[in-house]
Amino acid sequence: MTQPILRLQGVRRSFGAEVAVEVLKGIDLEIRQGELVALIGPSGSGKSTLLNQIGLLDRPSAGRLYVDGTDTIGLDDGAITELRGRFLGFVFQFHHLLPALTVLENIMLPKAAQAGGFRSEMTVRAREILSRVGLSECADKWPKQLSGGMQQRVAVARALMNAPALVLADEPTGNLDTESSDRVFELLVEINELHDTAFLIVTHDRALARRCERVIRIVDGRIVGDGLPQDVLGPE
Amino acid sequence: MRLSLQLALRFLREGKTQSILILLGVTIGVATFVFVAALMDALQVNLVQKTLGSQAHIVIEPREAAPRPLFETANTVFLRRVMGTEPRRTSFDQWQRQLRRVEATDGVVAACPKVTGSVLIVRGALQQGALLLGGDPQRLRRIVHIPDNMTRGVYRLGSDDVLIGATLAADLDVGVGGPVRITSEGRSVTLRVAGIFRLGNAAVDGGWVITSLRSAQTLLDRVGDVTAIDARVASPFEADEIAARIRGRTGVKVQSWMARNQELLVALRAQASSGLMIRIFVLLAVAMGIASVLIVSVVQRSGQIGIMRAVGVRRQVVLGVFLWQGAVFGIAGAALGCGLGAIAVRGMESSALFAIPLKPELLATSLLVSLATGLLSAFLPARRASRLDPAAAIRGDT
Repeated sequence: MTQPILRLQGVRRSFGAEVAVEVLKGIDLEIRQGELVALIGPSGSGKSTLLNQIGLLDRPSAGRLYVDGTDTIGLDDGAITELRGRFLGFVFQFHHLLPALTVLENIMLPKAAQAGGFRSEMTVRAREILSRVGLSECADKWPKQLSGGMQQRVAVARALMNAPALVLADEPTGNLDTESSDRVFELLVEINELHDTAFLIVTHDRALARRCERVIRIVDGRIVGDGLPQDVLGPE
Repeated sequence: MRLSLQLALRFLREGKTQSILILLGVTIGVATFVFVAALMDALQVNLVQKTLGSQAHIVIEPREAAPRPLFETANTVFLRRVMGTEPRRTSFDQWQRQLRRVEATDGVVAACPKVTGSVLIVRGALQQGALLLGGDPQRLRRIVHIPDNMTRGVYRLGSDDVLIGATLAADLDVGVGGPVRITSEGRSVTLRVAGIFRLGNAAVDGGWVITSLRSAQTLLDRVGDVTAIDARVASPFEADEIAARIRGRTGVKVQSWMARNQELLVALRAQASSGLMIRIFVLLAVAMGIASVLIVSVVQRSGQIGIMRAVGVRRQVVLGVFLWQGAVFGIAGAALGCGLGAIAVRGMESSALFAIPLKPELLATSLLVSLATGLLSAFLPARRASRLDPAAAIRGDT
């Protein structure tokens, strides 16, 4: 079995100073290279908070979090940002493309963040990824000129720009029609299989979760199920 | 190009209308800054030049005798009143040595011994009281700008020559070459008008006659003596300090033009203060304009800032994105504002009675002040943007 690229040990997260509300109550979790994992749970169960911990967008109140073998707890903001940009990719429900940048520039942004600026040599890889998501002809368009589904595919392309080991997708199809939703999910599966990129997909869609190789269920800040889709979700 | 600048320019281009409006505001602010500064400077220079065109920067005179009490008896108390003496003629002891000391003082560029006194000018049946000024023509021209202001005739002070103010010449109906008789306390001399001058000062143009030093000494009964030494300094606004230095070297009565024109100085200071206040308020308005636009921009773009941070854009780069926007507003606004200010100054100059020079230092200062204003006003929004919690920003909780 491959080494885990992500490991959480007893991660807790509380909010509020006087009356602390514990949202994550001791999460132990490992994700290995190339895994396609769905994270499910009811609203308010702590899915997004957990995703923020894994994405290094927030810091745990307690516990350890290892990314690519590195203990992230003592790292400063610069090191965290560098690690996040190099190791992780993000796809959000509401696309969140930068309207001031063209499609190609949006895709290049993670690489530009590492290099300190947009460089012409980045366009080769950006166009290659854009072609892979089927939007070659949209390179110089503005995000607002694209449909929701197309924007989400651009967001997927952006997440892949730095060839991350793990892509975190928060409801990536939640805001799309069925056809676009299927297309985006197929794209994630295809990238997962072709490049051995691990995916952690937060979703409410049980049908979509069943198509992943592993499902984690979280309820009230605790993992209550982790295994094959049929084991966690039950028979179809 | 740095990522922060690239993103700043993209953001500015995206919010085009907002960017143009605030740029317009900065442009008008800088134009006002340039215009007010140039106008105030020119007004001050003009007033000082007008005032100093007909008077020396520093006047050195013999020490006046101090008034003394009439009675001075030990152990006796008098109810007394010490009165100043009647004005009386005081000779200027060793004025040639004092002249050398004045000339050797740092900051003094010219000095001229002079004799002045009241005279009566007679031309046929017409007669008029006047002030006679006698001095060496080469020295005098460096103190009072007569040669540049000759309306007729020439600047010449031979033993038979007299220069006369334009209004006085008109009152006496005398032209160049015409004779005038000058009398003082029984002495009288007839001289020919070599030239007529106009300094733009009513008292001078209507009441001054200028002769050679020797003619004036003879007429005013001060042969071998002078009434004062006039001095000109390189920096008129340092006249007080230079006067103090001369006083220290000579021990005689020394007065700067500033001491003799206190009211003018107060007016100049008040004018400079009001000009400064106008400039400060304009800059504050510009700063608040930039800051408010950038704060709105940070709020509007908080989700995008969260995404930028999520994909690996560093906190310092986010800070830079908004500082660059402030800097671009500052630099572009300064460039346009200096141009607009220059046009306004040229427009004003055509209707004003004096020149309004646009000094390169003023334009450079405006650029720096505008840039500093842009950066300072962008700092708070920029800091706020760089400190956004990316997770909260993406959720829209900021």
